[in-house]
Amino acid sequence: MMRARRPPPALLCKILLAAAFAWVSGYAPAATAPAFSDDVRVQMQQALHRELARAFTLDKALALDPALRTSADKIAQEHLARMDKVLPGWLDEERVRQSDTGTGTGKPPSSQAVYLAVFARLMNELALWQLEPGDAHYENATLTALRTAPNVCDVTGDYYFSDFASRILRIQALPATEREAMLAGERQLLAHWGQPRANPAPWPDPLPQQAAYALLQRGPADAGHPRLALPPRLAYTVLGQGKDYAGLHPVERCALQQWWLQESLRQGVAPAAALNAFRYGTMLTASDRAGNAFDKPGADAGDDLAAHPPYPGIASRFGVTGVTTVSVRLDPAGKPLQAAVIGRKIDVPGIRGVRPVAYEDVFDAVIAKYAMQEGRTYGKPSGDVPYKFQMVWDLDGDKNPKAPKGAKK
Amino acid sequence: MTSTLHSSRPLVRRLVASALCAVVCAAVPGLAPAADKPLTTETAQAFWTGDFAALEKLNDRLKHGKHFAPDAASELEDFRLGLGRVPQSAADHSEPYLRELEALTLQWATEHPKSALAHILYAEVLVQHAWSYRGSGYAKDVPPQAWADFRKYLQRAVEYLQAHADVALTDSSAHSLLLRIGTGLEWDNDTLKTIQQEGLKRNPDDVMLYFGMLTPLLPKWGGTPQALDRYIRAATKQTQADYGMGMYARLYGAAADEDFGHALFENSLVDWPTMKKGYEDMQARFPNSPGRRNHFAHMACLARDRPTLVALLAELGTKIDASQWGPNPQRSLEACQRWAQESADESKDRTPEKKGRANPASL
Repeated sequence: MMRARRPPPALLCKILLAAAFAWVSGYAPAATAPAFSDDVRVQMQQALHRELARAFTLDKALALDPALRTSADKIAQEHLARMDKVLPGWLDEERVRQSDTGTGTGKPPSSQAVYLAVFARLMNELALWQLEPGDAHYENATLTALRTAPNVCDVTGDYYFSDFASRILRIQALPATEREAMLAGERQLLAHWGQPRANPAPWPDPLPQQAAYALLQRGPADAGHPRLALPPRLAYTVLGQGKDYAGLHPVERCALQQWWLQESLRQGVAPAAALNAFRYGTMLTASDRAGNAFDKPGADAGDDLAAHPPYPGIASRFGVTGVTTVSVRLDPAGKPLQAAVIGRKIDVPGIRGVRPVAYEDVFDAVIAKYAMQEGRTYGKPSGDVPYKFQMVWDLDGDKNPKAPKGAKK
Repeated sequence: MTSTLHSSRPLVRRLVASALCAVVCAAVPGLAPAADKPLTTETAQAFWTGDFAALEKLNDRLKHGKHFAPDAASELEDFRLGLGRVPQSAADHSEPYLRELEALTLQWATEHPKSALAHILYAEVLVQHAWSYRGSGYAKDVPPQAWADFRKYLQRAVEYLQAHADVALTDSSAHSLLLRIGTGLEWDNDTLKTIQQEGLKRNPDDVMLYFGMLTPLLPKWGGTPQALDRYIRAATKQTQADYGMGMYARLYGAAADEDFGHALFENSLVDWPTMKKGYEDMQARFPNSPGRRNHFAHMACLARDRPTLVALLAELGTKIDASQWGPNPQRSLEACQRWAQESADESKDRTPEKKGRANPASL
C-alpha cells in the first residue's frame, strides 16, 4: 500500500480559480463567525442554485421540438424549486455536523467548508441520478433510443452540465407516444434527490471505454474481427486521428459509449449491464466538470520514480481521501503495459450514506499515470496475473509516509 | 465550477464547416459556393453521425423530380457533395479510417438490401479509397503501386455495383458514380455515354450526369476538342426544352474551369455567341443567379467581348463574386476590370473577336 499526501498549503491558496467558488473569498470573515449571517446563507443558497441550474438549463440551440422543450423546462423548474427548499436544510445539517466533528479547537465551521461539503453532496446527487435506472418501461425505452438513434449524444451548450439535456434528447428520439410516460419517469427519478438511496451498481470492470478501445485495437470490423463499425465521426477521430479517449470531445465520448452499448448488446451482454456501463461511461463526475481548474500547470510527479503521485487539486479542494486499487498488466520484463483502477474506496466530506460516485474517479488519472510512469518496473510477472497495488490518499499530513509497497493479489 | 477550459466544437461541426473539395467531386462550375450550402452541411452531418435513415430520407426526396435552387443549382449535387465530405476528409491514418467506413457502409447495405443509396454509399467509399491512393496530383507523380491500388479499388466498386445492379442502378446516383469510376478506369466514351443515358432514363432531371460525362472528354483525360464539342452540342439539344441553349454555356464553362482555363477560346471549339445565348437563356429561366452572371462576365472577358463585360460588371455592381473568376480569381477579376475600364476609343475592342464557327441553329 502506498500513501500520497495533500499538496502544501501554498498551493491550496491558488486553487480558488473556479467561478463557482468566487463568492467564498468575499466572505472569509464569516469563517470564524459563530453562525452564518442571513446574507451568507442567502449567498450560499444562491450559489448552489446557480450551479444546479446549469445542469437543468436546456441550451437554446439544442434542436428540441417546442412541446417537448416546454415540458422539459417545466420539470426542470419544478425540480429546482424543490431543491431550493431542500438546500437550506442541507446547509444547516452540514453546519451542525461540522460543528460536532470539528477540529477540537472550539471554532465553528467555516462557511467555505460547509459550502464545499453541500456542493459535493449536490454534485453527487447529480451523479447518482445519472446512474439510477428507471422502471422497466423507462429502461426499455432508453435502450431503444440508444440502440436506434444516432444523434442522442449531440447536446449543445455547456457540455459538462448536459445531464438533463442528454436525457431529454433521448426522449425526443423515441416515438411521440412514449413521451408522456418517459417524462413521468424523469419526474419520478428526480423525486429521489435527497432521499435515502441504495448504492448504485458497481463500476464496470473494465471501464467501457477501455473495453471499446481494446476491441478496436484488434483490427478492422471485418470477418476476422466481427464487430459493429464505428460511425464516421468516431472512425475519423479514433482510427483516423488516433485520439485516445481523453482526447475526444464530450459529444464524441458519449457517441463512443453509445457505440459500445450497441456492440455489447450484439455480443450478448445483458441489457441492464450494458445500460449500467453506458451510464458510468457518460456520467459527468466532479473531475469532468472541473477539468484542470484546481490543478497547478505541470503539477505532477515529474520523472522521479520515487516520488509520490501528486494529490489532485480537486481532491484537495473537496477533502477527498481514500484508497484506490490498481491492476497493472506487465510484459515479461516487468514493465507496465496497461494500468487500470479496479477498486475505489473514497470518502468525501458532505456525502454520507451512499457512495460518493461523483468523486470516486478523482484519483484515477493520476494513479494510472503513476503506474505507467516511464522507467517503472514491477518485477517479473507470474504468468498472466496482473500486478496489483493500492494507493492510500490521505489528507492528515502524515509526516512519514510509508515506503511504497506493491502487493500481488 | 467552470467548464470554460473544455469548450470546443465537436468534430462533426468542425468538419462540416471546412469546405473540403475533392477533384472528383467538383461542383457545378460557375456556381460553386465559397461555403457549403445548408443541404450539403445537413447531409454531411447525417453521414458523420451515422444517421443512415436521415440520408435515406433526403435521397428519397431528391432522387426524382426537379430539385433546383433559384439559380438552377442542383440540390442533388449539394446532397452528393455532402456525402463526399466524409470519405474525403483527410485523416492522419487514412487506411484504418477508410476501412472502417467501408465496414460501416457495407453493414448498412446488408441491413438495407433494397436501398439503392446503401449500395451506392459502399461503392462511393471504395471509390474514395481508390482516390486516396491516386491523390489529386499529376499522373507522373503517382507511384506504380498506387496506380495498382487505385485501379483495384475502382474495380471493386464496379464489381460491387454490378453484383447489386438490380437495386443500385434504380438510382441515377449509381450512374453518376459509374461515370467517375469509368473515367478513372479509362473506359471508352461510348460505354460512358451509355451509362449516362441510362442514368438519365432513371432521372431525367439529374443534370449532374451531363457534367459527369464532360470530364472524360476533356483533353487532360485524353479527349479532343472535336469530341468535346460534339458532346456539348448533343447535350444542349437534349436539354433544350428545359434550358434553351443554357447547357452549352454551362458545359463550356465547366470545361474552362476544369481544363482549358484562360485558353478556352483558343484551344477549344467553343462559339462565343452561342455561349452567350446560353447564359441569357439561363438568365431568362433562372433570373436570380448572381454566381452565373459573374461566370458569364468572366467568360466575356476571356472571349474579349468588352461591351458584354462592361454591361455585366455594371449590372453586377456590388454583387461581384471573385470566386467565379477562374483560377487565381482575384487577379483575373482585377485584370478584367482594368480592361473594361480602358478607353472606349479603342474601337478594335468594341467588337468581339470572331472565334465562333457555329450557331444555335446548327445543333
